[in-house]
Amino acid sequence: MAAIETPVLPDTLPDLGRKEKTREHLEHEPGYLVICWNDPVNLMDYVTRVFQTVFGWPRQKAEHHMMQVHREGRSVLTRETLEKAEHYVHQLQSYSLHATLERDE
Amino acid sequence: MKFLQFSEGRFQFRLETAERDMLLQIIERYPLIPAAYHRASLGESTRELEATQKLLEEALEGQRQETRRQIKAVIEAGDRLQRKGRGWVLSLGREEIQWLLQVLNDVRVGSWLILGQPEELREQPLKLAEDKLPFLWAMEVCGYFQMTLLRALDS
Repeated sequence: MAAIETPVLPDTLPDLGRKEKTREHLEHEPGYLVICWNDPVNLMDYVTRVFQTVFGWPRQKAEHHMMQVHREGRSVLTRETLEKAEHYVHQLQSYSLHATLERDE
Repeated sequence: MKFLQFSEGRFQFRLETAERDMLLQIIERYPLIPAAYHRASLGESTRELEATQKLLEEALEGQRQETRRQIKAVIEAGDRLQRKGRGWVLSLGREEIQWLLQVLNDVRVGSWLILGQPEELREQPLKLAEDKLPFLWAMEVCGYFQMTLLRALDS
């Protein structure tokens, strides 16, 4: 049986095909975190209700994330494509929650 | 404001006349949060995130105008806020409660911003200039209405 030869890669790869990532490209990568941040003004029951409404989560899961926001200052709610992350952040902000999307480096 | 019952797809609440007046005043204040308050991201600004910020601001503005139109239509519909005896009865569907919660929380958070975003809301007494007192009032009243609506949804 012939052994499969492992190709040896050069130290420096040519830059062929490496393009600046466009918005269109980024939209299809699930590389964005939707994060909710703590503040002293949003009521805990309200935050739980918003998570249930926006994500369709059962109460227990929504409460878990609400408590994480409350105790740890933030909670990562989901990891999505740019387009979906924008959608969720818009939904959360429309309920006046402090939510952002961040690149998952 | 008291939750009375859920009947024929609507939640019914009893309000005293003073509570009804307060609710209408709060709705008139919506939206109170400045458009620039919400940020798409706290991270380093990139071309993609700047585009996202613009999209979110436009979407939020459109959504707030729509919510304002919807909630005013509900309140002004003759069968939703009716005088009963010495008080009022407010009847809302589940989706309409969500709209009202959005309105109330916007005014609550917007008032908190105007108050200087105090970290400790239970600090007594909050040292406030006289012209800021209506915003403390609005923040507390919104919280009171929100809790009643949330308890009704959970019941």
